[in-house]
Amino acid sequence: MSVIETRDLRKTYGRIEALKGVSLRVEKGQIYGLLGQNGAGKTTLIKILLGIVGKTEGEALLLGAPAGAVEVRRKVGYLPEDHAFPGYHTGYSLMDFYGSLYGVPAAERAKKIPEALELVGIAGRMHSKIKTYSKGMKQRLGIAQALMHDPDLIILDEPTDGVDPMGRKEIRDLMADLKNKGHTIFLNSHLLGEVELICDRVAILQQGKLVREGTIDELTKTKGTYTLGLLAGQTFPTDAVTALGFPVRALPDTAGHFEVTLPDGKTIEPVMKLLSERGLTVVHIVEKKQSLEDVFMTTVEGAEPGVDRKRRRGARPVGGGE
Amino acid sequence: MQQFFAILKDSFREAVDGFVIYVMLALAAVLIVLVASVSFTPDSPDVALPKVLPKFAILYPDQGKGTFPTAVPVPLKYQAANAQLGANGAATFILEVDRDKERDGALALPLDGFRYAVYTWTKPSGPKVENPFANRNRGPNVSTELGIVAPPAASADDLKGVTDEQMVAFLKFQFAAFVGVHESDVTISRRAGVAEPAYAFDVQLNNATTARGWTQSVSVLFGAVPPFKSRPLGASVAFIQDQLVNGIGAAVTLMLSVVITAFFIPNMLRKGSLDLLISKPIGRVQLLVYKYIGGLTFIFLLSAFTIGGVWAVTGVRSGLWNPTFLLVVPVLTFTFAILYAVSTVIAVYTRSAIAAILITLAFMFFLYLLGQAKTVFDANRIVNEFDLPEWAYTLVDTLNNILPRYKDLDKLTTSFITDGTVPVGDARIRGIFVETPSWAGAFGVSLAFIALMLGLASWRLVKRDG
Repeated sequence: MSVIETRDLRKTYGRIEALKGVSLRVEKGQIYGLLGQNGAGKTTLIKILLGIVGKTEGEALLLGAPAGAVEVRRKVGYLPEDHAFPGYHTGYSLMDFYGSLYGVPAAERAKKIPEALELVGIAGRMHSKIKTYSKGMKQRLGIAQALMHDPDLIILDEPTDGVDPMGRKEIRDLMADLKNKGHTIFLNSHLLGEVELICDRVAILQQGKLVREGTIDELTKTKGTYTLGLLAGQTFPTDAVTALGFPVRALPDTAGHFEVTLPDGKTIEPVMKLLSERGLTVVHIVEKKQSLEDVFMTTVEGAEPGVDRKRRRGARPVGGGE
Repeated sequence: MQQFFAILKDSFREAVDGFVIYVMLALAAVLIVLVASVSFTPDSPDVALPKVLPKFAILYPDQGKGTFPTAVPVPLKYQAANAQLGANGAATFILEVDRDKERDGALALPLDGFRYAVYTWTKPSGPKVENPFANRNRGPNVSTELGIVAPPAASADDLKGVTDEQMVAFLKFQFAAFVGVHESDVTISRRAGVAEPAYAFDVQLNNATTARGWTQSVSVLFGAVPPFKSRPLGASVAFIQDQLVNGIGAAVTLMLSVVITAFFIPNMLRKGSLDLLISKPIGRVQLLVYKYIGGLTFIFLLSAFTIGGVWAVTGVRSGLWNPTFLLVVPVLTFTFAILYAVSTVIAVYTRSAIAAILITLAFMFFLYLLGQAKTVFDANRIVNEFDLPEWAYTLVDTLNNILPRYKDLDKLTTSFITDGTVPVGDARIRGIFVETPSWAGAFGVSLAFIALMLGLASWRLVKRDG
């Protein structure tokens, strides 16, 4: 059973199509990243999963049950993007309130609240009013409230927003730790480097459509391009390699590295054999990869961002909702 | 239940976060201290009895079981002589009863007025009296009867048949009904040697000075202000509890509570706040209803503090413990429930606390005006003073039938307070002028209205995205 499964999920707000048939699966124990421009439909997807907004068509299952079902929500922790915690609460009392709504018994709350706050590094301020918290502290509190009841699935919408670099590292470590404990994490973030570091699988939404999906390796691998480097003082036989049918290009600003592109259906073997026959020593060989940012930029290049705010009267919609 | 109490606690936190709640508590404390500063000093029998004895002219037939008095008070003069105040507030005096020479002759009465009064008291209630104002011919909605009953016809033999025991029983009832003493605290014996139609009785009233109908001088600020008013104890306590607390105090409390609680729902529906709540395993309707009850709990606690405090200090200071006054707490909470239902539905549709406050206060004012109009229209049905068109009666009656009975709830609380403070004879007189509303009407229609408002709010909340 998948933790999250959507099939041809659609959502329209009036004339705006926020989701245009999204199908994806998130398996247990994964950290799954959802990427997309503003207005691509990421938050809409999350809100449908949690029952905050209703779907127009399609199917959405959470832990095998229809998304939004009350009993399923008991097993989910959620940090929304634009959260607004009531300022009259302290960190502790807010956790106590939310814990009660989750049905966590009082004794368990008394034990788990300080632990969760300690985990996110704000235990020292847990009895201060939230209105005195910095943005980063509120973000940490938001993460703590999503974890406190030990949920099977944790949905985090921009969890490191407003958090300093040190804090981001701590949150990444925390997510990795949660994954190791068997939790599933569904992560929505604009910080592509962060997603690349911790996610097992990634999906890219563009104007309500799922345009790419796969593991980080699958998405970042650039099929059939190798970077080669020879022992210092040796000359790369560009002409001979080209004559074999392999395009070659010298890489600028590198220590004599060359980029060899494999024609369709061929492997790097003939090139390696040629180099060996000529007594050349290969000291560097790497299959070239893109960064996730490259992948994302290539994917969304040329596309207009979607709409994540109320449309002005008369303005035409250009994409989905956030 | 855990979720319910969590939201109650959350509402309480929200309420006590602002300063207004502390202003309200301070106002409540000031009111309690002010009431505690009221001093009551029993008047001497010479002062008190002349104020209460004239009420004996009001007769409740059927040995007092008839709730409507007779139409024509018998013009008799009840006077006290040789009045003395003994230990434990016991008053002893001679009660003299004679024809009221100033009024006698104006009415066609049997010769022995006192015997006739006792005879009327012993007989069953007669038919209701025809409304003399009905023939003004000003409109079609006039009541043809009044809330008073016709006295019985009596022959000379009937009056001769009235016994001394019946006279004593009648007087005991009158003292209980208008002075408020318990009948077992009244000792009466007829004096011999007084020629009829005059009568004299030796009377002893135990615990008279603490009775509801006994007049007491009132001063405020712990006696710093000299006594300025002498009136029956029950009437003074009723004034404090009904006019000061149930009237002005309740109006101020309701208005301020509308302001404080109007922020609860819009704050909950704020972007970023609602998502956090409805992502938890709780239904939206549940969430809204619990939040609504949270608002009611707030005013329940506040009014319990204020009314409980006033009840305690009036009890201690006056010796008159009126438990029915405490019923004002649930009735006031229910009244607020009507207003808060309006506030909730406005808040859900507009997400604006300001809109909720303004519309709710306007609705409160409208209900007040409607209640006043209904009172005026009902009075006009009896006195037939104004020429009011049929459609105006229909409009006011229809609005009164379908909208919450704000005024009726006020009348109910007034009736609770009056019944618990003034002597029963005085309380019944209200029935001539003010019809006590039905519980079913006052609560039933209002409950249906609350259910409708919450239903609309819930529907909207369930249907909306986010």
